Amino acid sequence: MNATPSLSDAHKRTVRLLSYEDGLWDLLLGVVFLLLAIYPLTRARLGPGWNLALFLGLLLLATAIFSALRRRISTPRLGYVQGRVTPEKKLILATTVALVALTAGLVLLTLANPGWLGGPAPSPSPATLWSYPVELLVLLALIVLFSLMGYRFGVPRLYLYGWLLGGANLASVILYRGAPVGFNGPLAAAAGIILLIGGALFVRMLRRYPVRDVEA
Amino acid sequence: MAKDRTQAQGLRELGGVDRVVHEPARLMILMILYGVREADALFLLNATELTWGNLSSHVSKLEEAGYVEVDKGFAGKKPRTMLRLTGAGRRAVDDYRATMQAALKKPGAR
Repeated sequence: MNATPSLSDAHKRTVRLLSYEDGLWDLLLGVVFLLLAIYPLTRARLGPGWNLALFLGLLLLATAIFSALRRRISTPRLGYVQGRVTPEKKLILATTVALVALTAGLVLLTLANPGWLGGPAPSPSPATLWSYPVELLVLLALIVLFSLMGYRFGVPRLYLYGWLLGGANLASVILYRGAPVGFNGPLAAAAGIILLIGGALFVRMLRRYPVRDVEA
Repeated sequence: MAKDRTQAQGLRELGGVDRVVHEPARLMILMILYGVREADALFLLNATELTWGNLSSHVSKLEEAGYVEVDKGFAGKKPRTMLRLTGAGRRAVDDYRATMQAALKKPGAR
């Protein structure tokens, strides 16, 4: 038991237990970035419109599956909580949604690679890191977003996720410079690592929190 | 002299602290409920790492004091006990925090 508990610690513990203990959030994140990794490949075959529809459809399906898993598997083990909505929480939610939308938009933009983005022109001399301003912005946005979440909720692995995903996005752009992008290897590798962590956490949750029959 | 008087007053206030809230396990339950609208007993059990018996006994004391509302119902076919902080419970936590902060203030700190 913590000798000097505080309301902030209690809040962090509540959020951690509710959202990050079962690894489902990590699994969903891994699936989203795995879909983004195959996005250029399917785009080349389906065209931009159908590909976006496929991406959004799979995203909705994944979200529905993970919600069902949380309701049927995690909640009977971890317990049920209904959060309190305060003006401060509304502000945090709005900021998070805006940051997530901005980051997702930037990631999609770099994957779609439209002509007007003005990436480094193929040249015999190697480009410097500063030749990729949009990718650096994505890296920064992901690091800031995940670090803020990790700090606020006391979940250290989120710091790693920011570097992993931002770095993978930058690495893929540098690796595939000038070449038509197919399967995005670095992003798939980052998503794979997150999926492994999420899977391990999910198994740990199943073992640590058995379903209980008795109620207090 | 005036500083001594202030310290003595702080210690006297500490003596009058709400003992229902002051017990560590009950304080933990109250603090978890403070940040949410409602939670079930299973969640409190996992969050506090108390045993069912301990949790049940502390929740009964909090309910008797009027700090916590207990709602016994069902989630599907399984029984579910929902708990939420009452207005009096929220005020008790706020008062407790203020009392402890004032009483444990370092000498010389503003």
